[in-house]
Amino acid sequence: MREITLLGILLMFVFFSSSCNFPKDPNNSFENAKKSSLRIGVVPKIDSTTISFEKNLIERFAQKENLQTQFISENETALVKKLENFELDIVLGGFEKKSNWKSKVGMTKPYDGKHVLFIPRGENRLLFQLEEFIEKNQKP
Amino acid sequence: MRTEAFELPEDLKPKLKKAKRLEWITLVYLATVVVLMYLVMGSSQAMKTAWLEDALSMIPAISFLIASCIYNRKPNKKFQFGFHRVFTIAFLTGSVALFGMGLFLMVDSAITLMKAEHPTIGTIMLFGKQIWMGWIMIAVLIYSSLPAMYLGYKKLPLAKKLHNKILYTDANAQKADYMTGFAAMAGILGIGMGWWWADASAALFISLSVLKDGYTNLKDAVEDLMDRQPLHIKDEKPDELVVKAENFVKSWEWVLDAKARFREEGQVYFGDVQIIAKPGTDIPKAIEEGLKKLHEFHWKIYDVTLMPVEKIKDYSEK
Repeated sequence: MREITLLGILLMFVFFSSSCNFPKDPNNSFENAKKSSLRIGVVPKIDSTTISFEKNLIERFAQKENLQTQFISENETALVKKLENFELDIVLGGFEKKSNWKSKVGMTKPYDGKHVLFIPRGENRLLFQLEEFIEKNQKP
Repeated sequence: MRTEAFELPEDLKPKLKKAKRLEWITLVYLATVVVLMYLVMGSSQAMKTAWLEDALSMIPAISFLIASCIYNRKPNKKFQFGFHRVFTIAFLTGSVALFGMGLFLMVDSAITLMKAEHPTIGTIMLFGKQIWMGWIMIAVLIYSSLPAMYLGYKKLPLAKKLHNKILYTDANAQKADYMTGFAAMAGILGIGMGWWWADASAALFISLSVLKDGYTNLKDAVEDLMDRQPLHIKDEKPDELVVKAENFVKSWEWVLDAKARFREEGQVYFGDVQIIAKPGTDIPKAIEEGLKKLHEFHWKIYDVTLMPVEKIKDYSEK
């Protein structure tokens, strides 16, 4: 029974020492974006209405969270690679839920029931903030 | 030799009935747990491991229920010793599944940990409020551990009374289920703290406990099938019933010396007793009477051969 009590105390400690600001980012993406800027990769695509909606969505998000933005444009593979190395915070490209990049990136919930935004895997605070915003700004 | 269908003693019949009812409740409850866990699992390795563990823990309950429909059938031409071993087979099946899954989960979690995969956990909109899915997972984990623990505590004494190993394993695993639940919760809280490794580490811890259970049970089941001497299911010590039965036989007035050996067939014991009889005994009659007395001695001593010999062969280690 002693181990259980110890484990319980540990759980309680973890819980109370961190109940604010939960979940956190392992790589502090959201905190860093606040300090410097939100780095957004954009895949140049022909379907520009989707991309421009996504760009607009993120700009409004940045405005609400009081973040600077920094857009770069490159091909999909290069952008995902940068995302994996935490050199970008978000990648826009009109991606769908069942994208082939699924195992390499984290995804937000779809903003229109179909399309999602990519974020670095496991950056759960950033994801929380993004999803909260997306929930309130669903595309009809 | 017994040819009638096996019946538990009167005082144990309601216990078996209760055990069966508890196993049905367990099955229904586990089914809801497995569905709920699957729905909220997300990309957490610890949740996946705990989920598989819960799905797997339905196997002992199912095998117990199937076996308890078969074990007391009458011996027939094909199965002349009856069907008691069905419990041992159920026990083996359950332990193989547990052991295999423990191995799989250990490798899977270790790979996840080595690849340094960061688990992504999103949010859900509940009652107009954005909630981190981690909290929902923790709620489901609480649902998956507390009732299981209670069911385990209820089943444990029944398993001991019925000398039923599959029931005991099931009860014991469920009693220990809260460990899995807590480990998984710690993993989820760790993710929330920004420790991406906490999740896979918790999963690794869970898989090791599954593996340990699986190994112990597998060893036990195989040894049972190899006709090991009967052991208590609680503390793995030799059942003193064997010695008691031997002394009981020795106490008969026509018996000079005796040596008993038994093996477990599911809940009951089969075996033989070598007897050196006093000269001038009407042996066939004495044996018939002796068998009757032995059967009445304890319900676990089920099928025994009394064997008159000139010299007792001792097979036990000195």
